[in-house]
Amino acid sequence: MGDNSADQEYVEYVTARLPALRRLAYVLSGDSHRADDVVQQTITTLYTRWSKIRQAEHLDRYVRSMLVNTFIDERRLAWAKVRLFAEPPQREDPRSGDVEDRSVLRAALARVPRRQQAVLVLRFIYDLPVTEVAEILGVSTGTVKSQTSHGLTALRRLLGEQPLAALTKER
Amino acid sequence: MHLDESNAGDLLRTLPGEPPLPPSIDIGRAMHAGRRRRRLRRAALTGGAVVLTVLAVTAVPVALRATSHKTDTTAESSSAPPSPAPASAPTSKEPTQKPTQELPAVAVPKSCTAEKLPVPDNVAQALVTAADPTGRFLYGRSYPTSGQHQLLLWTDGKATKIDIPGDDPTINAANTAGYAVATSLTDDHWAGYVYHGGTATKLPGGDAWANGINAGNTVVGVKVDPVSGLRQPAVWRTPASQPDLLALPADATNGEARAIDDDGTVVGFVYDNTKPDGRAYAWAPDGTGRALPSPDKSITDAYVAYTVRNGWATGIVGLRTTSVAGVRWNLHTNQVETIRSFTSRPSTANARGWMVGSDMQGRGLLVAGGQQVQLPDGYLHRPGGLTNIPQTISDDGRIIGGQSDDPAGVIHAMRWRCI
Repeated sequence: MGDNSADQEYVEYVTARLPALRRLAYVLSGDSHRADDVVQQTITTLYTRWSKIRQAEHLDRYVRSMLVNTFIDERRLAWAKVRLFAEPPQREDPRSGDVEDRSVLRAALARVPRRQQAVLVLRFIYDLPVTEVAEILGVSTGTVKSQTSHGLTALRRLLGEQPLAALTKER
Repeated sequence: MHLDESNAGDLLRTLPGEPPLPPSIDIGRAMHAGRRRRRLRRAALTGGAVVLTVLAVTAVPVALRATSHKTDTTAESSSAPPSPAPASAPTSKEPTQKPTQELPAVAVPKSCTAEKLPVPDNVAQALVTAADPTGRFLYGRSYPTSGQHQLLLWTDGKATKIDIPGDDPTINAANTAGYAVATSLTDDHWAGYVYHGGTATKLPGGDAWANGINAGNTVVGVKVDPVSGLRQPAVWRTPASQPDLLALPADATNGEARAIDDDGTVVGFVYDNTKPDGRAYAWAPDGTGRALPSPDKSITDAYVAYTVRNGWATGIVGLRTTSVAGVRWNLHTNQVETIRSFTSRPSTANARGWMVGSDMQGRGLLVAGGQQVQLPDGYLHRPGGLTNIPQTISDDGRIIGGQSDDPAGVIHAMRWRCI
């Protein structure tokens, strides 16, 4: 569109935020290519909405929210299209071999349902309070708490008998 | 030591934070794509269904009689012969198969037109997930904001919004009386719902998925144990009944009921939960279970059935391999055939055994009684891209619901009408 100053502002904003967005996408997906796809989709949608939200009070949080929801959504829409296996979404496919981080922890986290993954990442890696995580995901704080609990239960089960100490050392 | 909130941070922060590869993000491309999306949104028409493509595509009848293709196992046009396995493979002799109901003869459609279905609130992206057997009721979803979606019902092409409690509800099946079943998630508990006339009623009996419903409003699905994850095939005789569990064979730990025929026959699959795959299974109205034959003798535990109507069941074979193919069973004759025309899963076969799906070119295809009818694109097609996916076909073969991508990759809910 014609509005050059808005475009300029968008470019500056995205350029400055890109490393942080990539890190978030990477910690969610464990894969560079997928992370870049998620970021690319997010900033594309951001551009379509830029004129409305550039003045928003919590722009960073809004963009983070878009990114996390793109990550969660990505598979649902892909699933709706590619029904070759046609399993219900809760029966997650194990990731194909292109995950770079092949640690046991990453493998386990990848098998936790996506929304729970996002909650665990936002709460425990980003140290965000429950209320902020709730806003980012567009759910209630009660849901965040129960998703945390279910996510940890799932992770615990998937990690099985691995001693925690060994995992925290493994990298 | 036990993983909990006090140490989860220590553990999770050991994950690498920096992507190892240099970034491939293109801000210029984001702006270009964003501009195109904005233009398309403004150009999208609202109101009634818009006929996008009046291209009347002539049906190309391709004879698929197995007898004349005995040695031609590489025929691209899917001559529906059974697997390459010799001797014991059943042949597909459609004309002699006896359906549940005797149906009046109906000609295979000759041509179809594609229409974009209207979407409330001008939402850009939507798709169709289910239909009743007449095609009058098409169910689907739109995506108003990232992370949220809105359930939709199109009645004779007119859209209304549906609300079902929980997150991520999806309508999975519907009958001609206007009843539909859906599954959604509430605080990590799955629940099945029966929807009718604006009301959604939760199925009794604990965590469950609701997958199918027949003309008698009997519902089938899966009872899920929220702690162990155990899945058991279940039937709710009425939407208010407690679920009955269907019997599993001795070597299966889990199973799923996916669809139910009007005579009460249920289809789905059973499996050992230490493995991801399964085998297709059917339960007679009296509950007696049996494995359905595999179309490929070398595959005994990686084929499943998802749908049934009038004795025709469909599913897929070759789970988790690169050569997944569609399968169609005739439950009365126990004959099975591989369907190679589609790259997507075949749809529910209609009462006449006709199916729809996407072909290798990304176009919609109707496979009916030995003929194939190419559906016109909603917008375009791309080889290997699943650009057009027909999902549902009415019993008379005249109304097909599904989705088509536009040039920007936005998914649109579509209806094809055929004559």
